[in-house]
Amino acid sequence: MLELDKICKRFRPDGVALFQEVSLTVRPGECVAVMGESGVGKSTLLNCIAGLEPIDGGEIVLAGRRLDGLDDDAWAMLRRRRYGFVFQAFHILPHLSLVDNVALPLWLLDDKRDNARARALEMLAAVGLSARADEGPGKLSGGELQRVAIARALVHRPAVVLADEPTGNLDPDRAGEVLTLLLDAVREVGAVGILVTHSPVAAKQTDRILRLTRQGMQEAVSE
Amino acid sequence: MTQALWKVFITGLLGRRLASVLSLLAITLGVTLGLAVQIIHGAALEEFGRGMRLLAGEADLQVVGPRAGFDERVYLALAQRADVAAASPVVEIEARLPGREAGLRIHGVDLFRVARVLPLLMPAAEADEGRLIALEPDRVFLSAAAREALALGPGDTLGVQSGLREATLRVSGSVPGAAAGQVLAVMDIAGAQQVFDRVGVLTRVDLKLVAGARREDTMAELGRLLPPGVEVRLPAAGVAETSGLSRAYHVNLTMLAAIALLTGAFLVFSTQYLSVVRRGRELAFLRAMGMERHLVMRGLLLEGAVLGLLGGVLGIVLAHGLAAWAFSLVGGDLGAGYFAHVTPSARFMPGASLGYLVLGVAAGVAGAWLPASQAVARPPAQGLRAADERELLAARPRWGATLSCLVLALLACWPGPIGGIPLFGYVAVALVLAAAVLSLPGGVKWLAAPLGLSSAVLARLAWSRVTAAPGQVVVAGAGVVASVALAVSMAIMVGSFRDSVDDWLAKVLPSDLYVRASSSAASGFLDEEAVARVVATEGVAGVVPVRYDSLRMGDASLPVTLIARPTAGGEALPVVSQRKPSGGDLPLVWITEAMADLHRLGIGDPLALPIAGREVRFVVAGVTRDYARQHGAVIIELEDYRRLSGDRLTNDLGVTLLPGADVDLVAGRLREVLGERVVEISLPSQIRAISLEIFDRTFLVTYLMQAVAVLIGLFGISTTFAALATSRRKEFGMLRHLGLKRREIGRLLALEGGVTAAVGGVVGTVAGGAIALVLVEVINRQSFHWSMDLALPFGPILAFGLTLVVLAAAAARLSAAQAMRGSAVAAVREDW
Repeated sequence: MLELDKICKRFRPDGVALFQEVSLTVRPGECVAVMGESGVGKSTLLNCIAGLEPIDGGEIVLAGRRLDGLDDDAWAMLRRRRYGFVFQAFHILPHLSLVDNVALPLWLLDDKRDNARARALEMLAAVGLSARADEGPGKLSGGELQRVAIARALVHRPAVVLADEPTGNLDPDRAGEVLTLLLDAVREVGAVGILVTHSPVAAKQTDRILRLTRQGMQEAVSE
Repeated sequence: MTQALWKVFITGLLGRRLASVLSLLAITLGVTLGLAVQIIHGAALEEFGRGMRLLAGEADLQVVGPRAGFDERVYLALAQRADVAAASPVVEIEARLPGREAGLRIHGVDLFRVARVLPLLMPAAEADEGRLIALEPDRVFLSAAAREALALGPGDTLGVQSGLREATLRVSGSVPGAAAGQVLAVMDIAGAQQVFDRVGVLTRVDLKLVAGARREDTMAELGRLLPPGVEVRLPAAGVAETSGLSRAYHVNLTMLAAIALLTGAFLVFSTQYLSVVRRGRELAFLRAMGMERHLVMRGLLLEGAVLGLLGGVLGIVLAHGLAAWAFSLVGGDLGAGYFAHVTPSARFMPGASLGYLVLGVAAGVAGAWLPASQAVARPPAQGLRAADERELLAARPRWGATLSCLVLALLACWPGPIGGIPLFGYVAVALVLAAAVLSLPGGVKWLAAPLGLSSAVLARLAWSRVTAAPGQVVVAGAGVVASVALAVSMAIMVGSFRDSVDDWLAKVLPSDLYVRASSSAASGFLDEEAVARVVATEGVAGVVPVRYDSLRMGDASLPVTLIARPTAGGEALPVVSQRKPSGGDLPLVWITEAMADLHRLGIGDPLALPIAGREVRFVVAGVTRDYARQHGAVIIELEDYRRLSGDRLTNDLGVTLLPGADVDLVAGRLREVLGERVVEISLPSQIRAISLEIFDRTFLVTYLMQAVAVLIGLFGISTTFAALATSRRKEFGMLRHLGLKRREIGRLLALEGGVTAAVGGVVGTVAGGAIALVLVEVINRQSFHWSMDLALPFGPILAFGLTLVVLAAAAARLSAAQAMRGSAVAAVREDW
């Protein structure tokens, strides 16, 4: 379970609040969509949840453990073990093969070489790319690259998967497929899924839709 | 359009200030070193030439002979010739001054003749002395510089030495015509002959021809008439002799500077390449906007040219400063000992400066060429898509080209020198360097393979990066390869040279003590009676007398040193190769390697030597090593020499002691017997130490160049990684999202930097070994004509390599720190 309690983020250096009083609870296996106007801080919220940006108030609790106040290294170790990321621009390393890209989080966890490869191959098979496992990412389409990214985000069975506009660079057909794949995979590993998106179509595929404003987070069932 | 070029391209240089400044500095260093060597050597030579010209005065021709001189009857024959308007006989003596460190060059001149041919050497008597005082045999006239150097004034006495005898001269006036800084003395020729035991002997005759006489005709005729070993030459030839001696040394230094400049070009290549990679989209956009391909090309080359121009201008300024500093520190020959009596000063050399400016610009343009041509060859549509710098850094292995360069390098080792300069040897060095750089893309896969076996994530990431983008190693490592190759080759060459010189010294200094009255060129010597006194001294077991002279071989080559000594059939000599002479009655001669090369002689060949005005036929029995005389020397048995010349004097006397005799005690006795002030007594260990000290001073400047080259190579790694870290911010941002700590990314970059330096270091070391072979076997052989035994200083090379890797890793880490300072969050959002 991931719980946010009244977290607040301020601009530097003037201290004006970007958002405040943001509270949220997401159960394992549940996927929520976060929507909101541009510039309201959706991506910043994800970064705060991942410890990539400090918060200026409130609490973040994951599986009963308070995370706010951890130092930089502790956050890095936490992200390594318990977080998965999917980015709008994919960020697949060009000099690694597909299977190595997927295995990268396992390498970071010091998994045995063979285990890591076997697990990465399984994940690639799950996203339908096992035949091209040893190729580089150079010739892949956007949709295929995002599938690799999804495999990478879930290969180490994280507790939290954060996706920032994962379909923003894809055409509608591919976007639907990729999102289904992502959400199914998150549910399957029982992770907390938080999806930041501008797309109502994408948001509808999640379990709950939330709207972020400067004053806090609201349920937006009507969307 | 000019404005567009300026705005788009040149302002781009300002945008990447650090990289631009470093490339500029690299070019500056190359230009500075090269031009400084040129200025120093040029000024020393010019100063030396000025002195020589002054001493040649208005002479049309000079008749010169061996150092020991020639029969003065030659002068009588010359003076009576119809085509000679005036002849001035000269005895030139390097006088040893007992009790003083420095010697003095004394010109013994005929005061009635010298005024017509060499008026600048006319002595001026002090006002209170009579007009004919100069004719008295014990009067000497000093140039202003000599007075100052010796701290002597009119009326003072000056002690001079001839053999072991001291004579006293009286300072009676000055030499007003001598140039400022020229240390010399003039005395009457008859007095000089008497004081220095040269009665009946001249060392030079200056000739002034009658109006209308052709110098060439007179030279040809005199060439036939003069006795063997006495030659007629143009006064300018004296300058050429000295410049010929130092030229090879000078060319070698210049070539080292050229390699520094080449390393600079590599650095421009690195920074330009990366800048083009980073600006891929911008350049594609300009093309899409309608900027023609050639204009983009021109703009990119212009960037390189501007760096070269600025670096060149700065280099010219620094070179003049460096030259002035070097003059004050080590003198005009950079410590090599070629211009001992010259005190030159640095002055602006427009021609050489312009030449180096052009070279600087050429280095900048050459470095920018490949990146520019690759950039314009890329279709704009491709460039406009999200740039993938890895794609541009995916260099293919070029084994074919590597092999071709090596084969060509091997072929370039065969041809001989051109005008005494081993040009093809330098071509071979350049080809080996090219082969080394070309082998990088293929070699990196092999050399980085151990990294791929590691299970540590950073090692695997680094390995994937360098093997997938070997261009990164080429771009960052090319400078390292060049600088390491230079440093390693110089280390091997200098190390081999030093070891060989040390061995040679041990071989040529077998006695327990060495006694001499002065250097072989100066006025001290030991006569038979003095040698007998040495032999009779308590504790002395035996002596080895050596006599030196210089011979003119009559073929316009430089004078050759004659060494007459007991040879023990070659046993006592540092022989490289020898063969039992085949029966004939001819006396034997051993020749040095330089002599064999310069005069195209081999074992068994006949060799005619002009000894005491007669031509004597010898047969070559062997070739010996000699690191002291690069213009060649011949060694003959002392008894043969004495029989042929009647000269029974000794320059150097090796003394062997009885078993158990105390060296210091015997040396003390010898000083007593011969006179403390007139002899120098040295232990072989002292001579060796002094020789090696001179050797080390000579190569000091090459160590400086090595250090600079390595620094330039490290600059390359530093700038490349700074640029790469910026262009890889997205990658690092993503890795931070995956849980990599900030310092782990620093370590990743340090690892990549270290691997790059290691690959560059290994390739550079191998190339350096090959270049050392070319230096030892081709370039030194052709420049100085001496061979040496190859010695590999493994320890220092390994230590140097490890230091380089550590420094490179640190450089990569530090340069990348800037790029990592930004937030990981911002980096992954960048969408280019």
